[in-house]
Amino acid sequence: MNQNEHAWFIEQIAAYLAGGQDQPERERFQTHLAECGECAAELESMRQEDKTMQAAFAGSVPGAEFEQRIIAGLRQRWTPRLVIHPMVRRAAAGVAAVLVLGAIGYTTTTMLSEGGLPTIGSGGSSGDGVAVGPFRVSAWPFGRNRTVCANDLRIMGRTPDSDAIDKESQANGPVQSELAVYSDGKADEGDGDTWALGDRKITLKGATVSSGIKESRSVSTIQPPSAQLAYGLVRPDAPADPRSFKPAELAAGAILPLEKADHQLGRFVAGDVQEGLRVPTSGTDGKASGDGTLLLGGVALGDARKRESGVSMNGNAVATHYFFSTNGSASKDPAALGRIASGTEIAAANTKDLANTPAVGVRGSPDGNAPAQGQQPANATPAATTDSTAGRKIIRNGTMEFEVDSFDSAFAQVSKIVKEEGGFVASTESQKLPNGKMTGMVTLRVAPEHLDTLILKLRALGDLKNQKIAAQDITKQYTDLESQLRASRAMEQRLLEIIKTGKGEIKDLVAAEKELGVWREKIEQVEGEIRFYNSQISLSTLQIALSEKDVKGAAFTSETELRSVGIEAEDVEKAYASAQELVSEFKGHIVTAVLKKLEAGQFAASIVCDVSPENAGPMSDRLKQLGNVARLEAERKLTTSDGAEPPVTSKVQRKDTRFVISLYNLANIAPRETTNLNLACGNVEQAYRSILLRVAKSGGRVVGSNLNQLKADQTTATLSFQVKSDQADALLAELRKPANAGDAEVTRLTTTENPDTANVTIAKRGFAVQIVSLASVTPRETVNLQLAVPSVADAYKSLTELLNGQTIQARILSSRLSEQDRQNVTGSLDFEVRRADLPAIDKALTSAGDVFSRNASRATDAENTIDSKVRLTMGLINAQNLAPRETFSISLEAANVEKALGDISLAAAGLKGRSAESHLTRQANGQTTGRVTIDVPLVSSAEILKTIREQGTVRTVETGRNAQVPDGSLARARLEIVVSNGEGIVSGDKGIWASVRNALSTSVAGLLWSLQLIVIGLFLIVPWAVAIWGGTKLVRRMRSAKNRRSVVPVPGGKD
Amino acid sequence: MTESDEALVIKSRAGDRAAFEELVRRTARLVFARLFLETGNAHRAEDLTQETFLAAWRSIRQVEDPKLFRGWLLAIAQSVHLGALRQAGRQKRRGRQAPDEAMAALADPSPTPAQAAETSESRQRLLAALKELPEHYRQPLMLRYLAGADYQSIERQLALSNGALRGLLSRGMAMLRETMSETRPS
Repeated sequence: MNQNEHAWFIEQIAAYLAGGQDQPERERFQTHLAECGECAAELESMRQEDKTMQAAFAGSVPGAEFEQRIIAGLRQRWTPRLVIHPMVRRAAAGVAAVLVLGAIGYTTTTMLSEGGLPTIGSGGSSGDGVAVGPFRVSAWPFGRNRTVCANDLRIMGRTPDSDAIDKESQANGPVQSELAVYSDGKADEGDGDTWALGDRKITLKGATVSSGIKESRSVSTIQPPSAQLAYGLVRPDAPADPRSFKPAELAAGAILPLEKADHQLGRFVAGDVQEGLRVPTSGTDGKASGDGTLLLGGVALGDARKRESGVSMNGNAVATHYFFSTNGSASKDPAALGRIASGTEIAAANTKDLANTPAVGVRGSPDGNAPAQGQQPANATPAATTDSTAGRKIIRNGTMEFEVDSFDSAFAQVSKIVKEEGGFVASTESQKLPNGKMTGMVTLRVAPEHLDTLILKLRALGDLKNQKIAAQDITKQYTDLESQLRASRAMEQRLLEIIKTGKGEIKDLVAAEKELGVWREKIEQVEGEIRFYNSQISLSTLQIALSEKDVKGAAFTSETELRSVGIEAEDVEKAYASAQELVSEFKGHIVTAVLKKLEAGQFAASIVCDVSPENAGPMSDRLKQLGNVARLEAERKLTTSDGAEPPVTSKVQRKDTRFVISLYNLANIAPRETTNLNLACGNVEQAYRSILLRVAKSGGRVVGSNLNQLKADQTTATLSFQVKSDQADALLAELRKPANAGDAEVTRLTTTENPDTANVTIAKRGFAVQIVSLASVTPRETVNLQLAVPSVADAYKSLTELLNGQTIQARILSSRLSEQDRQNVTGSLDFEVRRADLPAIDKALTSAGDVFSRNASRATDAENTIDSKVRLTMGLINAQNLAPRETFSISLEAANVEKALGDISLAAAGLKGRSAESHLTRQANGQTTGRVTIDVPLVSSAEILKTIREQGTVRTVETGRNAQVPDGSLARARLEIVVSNGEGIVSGDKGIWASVRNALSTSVAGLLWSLQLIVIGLFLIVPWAVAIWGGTKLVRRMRSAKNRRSVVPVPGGKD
Repeated sequence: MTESDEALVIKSRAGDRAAFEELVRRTARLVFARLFLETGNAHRAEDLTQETFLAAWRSIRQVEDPKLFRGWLLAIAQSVHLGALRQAGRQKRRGRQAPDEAMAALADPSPTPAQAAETSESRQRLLAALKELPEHYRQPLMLRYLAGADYQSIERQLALSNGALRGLLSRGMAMLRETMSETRPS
């Protein structure tokens, strides 16, 4: 009994109780149990425990068939093997709802934006295909496309006016019309056969005809309320009787459409194709017929016979007219047909050609009465014109105008011709003109029949200038006169009878006698008039005007000469007397002589005299000795007796020469030439005085002088004087530089010539001099300078010293030095210097600093400015404030950023540069970036660049140049250096985070869009949902209320 | 039944229903016992067992390592049980009594009330004691007492060898007795 056996036993108890021991174990267990009481007790205790426990769950322990039950249960529910998780299902439902909402939102948005969402009340249909929502209503040509079938013939056509017809049909009852169609038999098999009539076309579709005929059938009947008119033209060889001809015999294309017989019909006809082909239908009653020439639209289509047929339809008579050729000459001129078809021409035919062509234009009338008036025989011909004029009283008169070589021979010829024609010369009248030419008038009388031949014969007389033949119809006056005569005769007879019978009182008889006298006078008067008319009618009057050639030539020509002389004389009175003496010396005579003494010693004399032509030349020469002949005009003029063109051959008579002599002195005569001089002088007063002296010396006349001295700077003077012309140029040369006047400059020099050549003299010249102070005139040239200097204050000081000094004559207009702070010092100088001093100024500027801008401007005004001085406007700025001339952007990669930055700054300092800004960034990932901006003198830029290159790898260098900054010793270069160590070359907009950001922003954009759609959908759905929900609630409540009501009557029932 | 559990799992994953049924036979009582332990009600445990296997069949493809099938199955059982609890809670909140509990109250009317009370009392005690035990030792005992499995059956349900089960059983019993003796005086 060792301890091991006990332990084993204890451990086996549970297995034993559970029945999990195999045979050897069970035997060993039993053996030990039998041996050991302690263990037996333990076993018993355990067994008790086990039993209790089993008993506790005995009722609920599943039986042996438990597994089978589970499996059976499973088998029942196998089928939906992959049932979606409820959560998934819910999620899917949510997604679906969202999608539906989104889709609704999207559709709504689209439709709203396209304007296609149907809005209440807009209707949206205007008849011809307006889009309404997703539907499109096409405008169907209901009833408009009148496809008419005649057996298998079809006419395709549209009737735009069918609406009107429809309206009329509503107003007037059923509309009927006959329609008949013919084919000419030449139709291609299966092809459309088109007839062109005017601008319309009739297309016959499917006209597969063998005999060329398709029987006509009335299909759609349209009848205008009143009569209609139809024209047809049949083929030439057709039988005469319309009732017997067959449609095949119709001339091809010669069927004319209905015309505008009346308004209604006209509207119908217009634009329609199916109208107007009218054929005789069997059973029509012919009412009238006639022969004649068919003229349609003024075009003869050939002899035609007209046949009328009246057809009564619903009480409305319709007259139909057919015209068919009887002599085979029917015109097929399409133009004529077109004109006929167009309606207007036919209307003209109705009115115009009716008289001669009864076959046309007969119009049916509603009562069926065929208009027989239109059928007069067509015997009227144009030859009837003569017959019609037979009874007329016509006076024929004529006038002719000839230019002949000789009047007398022409007259003899006329007399001969008129005799030949049985006429006579009624009167003749001739006249001899002063130039010896003959002109005259011959009046001929001749029988009217001979007038034309007479005129023809007279044509040979000479050059026919004018011819007029007039016929005056006096039939009416003549008949009036005749009837007047008859009435007067009757009256005379009556009065005679009264007198003869002698009845009545004496007084009455005397009155009758008196009356008789009045009437007799009247009778004679009328008879005279009739006789006059008769003579006028029986003999035509022809008036012939004859004139010899060159009848207007002048008779004689005279020549006169006019000499106009202007003489300047010192002593006018003496010259006046001498001139008069001269006239008498040359045997002329003085017409007028005037001597005037005017103000300011001015004399003026004028003499008008006539001198014989041979003395005119010597006279002119002598006049020149009187003084200075300022002007001499000679005009020679030919004059004819009657103002006509002087003939070459005519004799010229020389008449006296007329002199018009003007004598005057020069005292008050303006000089021809005046010189205007504007002068700018240093010393105005001195200049003024010296000019006055000089004028007096040269014997000139000072007209006016004025010196106006306000201040030294503003002194002005004006001088006006006249000097003799020969001294003028020398004087002008001296005027340019007056003595003792300092610097002088001519700002303006103009010379004007007086256009009035008559009243001026060239013997003297006028001067108008205006003198102003040199200081008060603005310089022509202004130079704007910008000067960059190392020290503004020093430069300002040295420059002002220079300007105020003795070496340079300068006039400082303004100067300013402003010192805001040490860095911001600016100065400006505005001064005028003589041009000669400019080099000295330039030298001073160059030594002071750099001129970085220089704008020189010259005023366009050359008149009020002077060139001898220059104005300088100068701005002084600190060179440090200048923009850098060159800019370098350098990105550098260096291992040690800080060291590189330090080295660069050090090098810059060594080169007199300075670093403007500098910063260093050190990022968490070890990347270090340093930026430094340094300014160095431009000359040192190469050196500093070299230093930079030594620091590491230069990645990029960008160079910029500011062209506005001068390239001088003060020019600077700016270097913007970015130094970084190796990392971080990848730009910030790439990498994971950037992608994530991108993705997020895209997603959010999508999300927002979706959200928008969902909200739209939601608001479309929500009202419906609420309405449906409310409706259901209501229905349910009503139903339950009904139920309650049915329950209520039960006694003791509860609600 | 020569096929191993692992092979059966693989076949089931491919959609073999027979293999899955065999797996059900081999694990049903374990699941039941476990659910009984959780619910204390045989009917509910059986219903939930049914649900568990249904859920397991539906998601059998999720099993990656066939060796861990039992653990996975028990986890499903647990989640099914929790789901059922949640549903019951919801229903209770809506004011409806869970039918299961009503049924449980009526269950097993045959024993006398006193007996029933005693049984119920010892049952609660036993279940409480079992819950105290480590999972390892608890499983054989659960199978034995709650699921009425015999020794071979336990072996099969837990896929254990004879020797291993014996030790587990013996130690489990000892621990259970200890726990019971601790709680009994109260």
